[in-house]
Amino acid sequence: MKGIRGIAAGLLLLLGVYALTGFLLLGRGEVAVILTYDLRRVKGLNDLILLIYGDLPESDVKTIRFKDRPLLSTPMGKLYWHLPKPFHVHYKFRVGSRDYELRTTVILPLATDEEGRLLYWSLLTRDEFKTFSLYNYIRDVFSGKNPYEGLEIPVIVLDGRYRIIDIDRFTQTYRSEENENRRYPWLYPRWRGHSLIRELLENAFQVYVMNKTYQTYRHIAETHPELIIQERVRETYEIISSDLPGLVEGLLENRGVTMLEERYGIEVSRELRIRIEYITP
Amino acid sequence: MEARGEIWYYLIEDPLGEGETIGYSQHQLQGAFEEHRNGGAVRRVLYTPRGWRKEGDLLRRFEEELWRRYEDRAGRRMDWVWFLRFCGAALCIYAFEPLFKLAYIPLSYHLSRYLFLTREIIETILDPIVIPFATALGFILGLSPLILTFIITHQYIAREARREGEIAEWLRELMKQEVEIRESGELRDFRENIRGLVEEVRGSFRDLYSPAMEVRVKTCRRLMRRLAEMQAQASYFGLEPLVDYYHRLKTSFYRLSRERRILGRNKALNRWLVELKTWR
Repeated sequence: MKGIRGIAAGLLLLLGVYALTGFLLLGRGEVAVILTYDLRRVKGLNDLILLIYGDLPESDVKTIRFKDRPLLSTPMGKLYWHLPKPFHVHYKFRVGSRDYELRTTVILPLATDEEGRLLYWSLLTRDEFKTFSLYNYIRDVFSGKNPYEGLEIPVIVLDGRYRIIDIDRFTQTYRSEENENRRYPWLYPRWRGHSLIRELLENAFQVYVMNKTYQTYRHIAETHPELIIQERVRETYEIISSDLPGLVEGLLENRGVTMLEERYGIEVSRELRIRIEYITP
Repeated sequence: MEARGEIWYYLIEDPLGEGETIGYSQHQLQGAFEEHRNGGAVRRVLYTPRGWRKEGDLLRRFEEELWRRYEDRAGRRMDWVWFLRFCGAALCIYAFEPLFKLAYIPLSYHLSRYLFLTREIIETILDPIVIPFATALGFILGLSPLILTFIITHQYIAREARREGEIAEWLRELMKQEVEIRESGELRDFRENIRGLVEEVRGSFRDLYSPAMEVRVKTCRRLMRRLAEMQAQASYFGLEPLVDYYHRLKTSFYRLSRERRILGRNKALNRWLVELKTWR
């Protein structure tokens, strides 16, 4: 057969390149998470797409640390090898403290539907709480108008650091869980590792600020039941705008953050830097 | 060089070795193959300077070597074709994932700035329509290095290899037919005229293996000049296939690339290479 030597050489090349994808170079202080996929779970096209996106549920999560016995020690780091894609996939991360920056606006929820989605809400601006309804919001979006146009909105910016204290627990963030978004890996990419931590922190921060705002509003409503809604909102504005950084107090003891420490082995530093920025969308 | 339905072979002195050899034109051979493809009959004609002797055997040996050479070349080309295709596949190992993901750029996310697209609308209406197309596009994009290599190798190398294989097959078939031998006065005169040149070339041929680089290079240069003179003589006598033959022989000396690469470092010999280029 013509070209048989080419096929043989090409096959060797292909196998060589394929095997190369399994190599992994770890520097000092770096850790790798190796995910193992159970290929028997690939049943249809959607599973295949999930596999391409690295979103198929893993059957095993292993950790390789710098102190583990390598295949080869090089000046650039230690060389390890695992079975190539799609059997195993690796992610590297550096152990140590990391900076984060979280941002949130202050929203006072006035009414929600049974699933907690906002129907009426007040957005804190420089001068007052500006009230929005979902109906008006949608109408503006449909007509091509920006519902928040021209407003001067304060944004609370939080700078801090966190540190991985338990690698085994941290690597659990790489484990895929069944969730409703699994069908759309390209629309709802799954956060892993540091980006998951940052996402969880951001969520905890936003929910915390919203709850604190709402608690202030509830407190006014309970102590002054004679006030109408607009007056309560105005009162809340007076209290909150006088001490905007105060909204962050107690965040580190919040359930979301402590859950992060317990579940994922992350220690959030006690020193936070709070800034207020004004944006005009 | 008109030779309707004929391949012309010429019995000439072998400039690069002892004895006689066959001179022919590759262009004419391929032209004859095209004619054969279009349904025409092709005959082989051997021009000799004298009457019938044992030239038929020489031609047979030469033709056997010729079709083998064509077959080898076709095989080598196919080797490259398959090797390049596997290179494309190897590239796919790295490029497949990012290219596949290009098909899934969430357009709806960007469109949501201008249209009211909620997650529910996307999931219930847009996705079922878009996903099958995006998947197909993703696979096409992801495998595009492989697909492109297949197209390019087929277009430029595999077709050429198949043609060469067909020529080899055809030459083999053609050998079963009787060869026509013609005496040619022009060929006789041509051979008389270049006799001195051929002897000079044969004499300097062993210098090609000289240990001194400069000698080898100078010999190359001299050989090419003599071959160019033979080419001019062939043209003078109207032996067009031989013009092509000597030209091919001459240019084959340019391919002493190993020496040219070594010479690249040497200034004096580099100058020679520049001169060679202008002369060419």
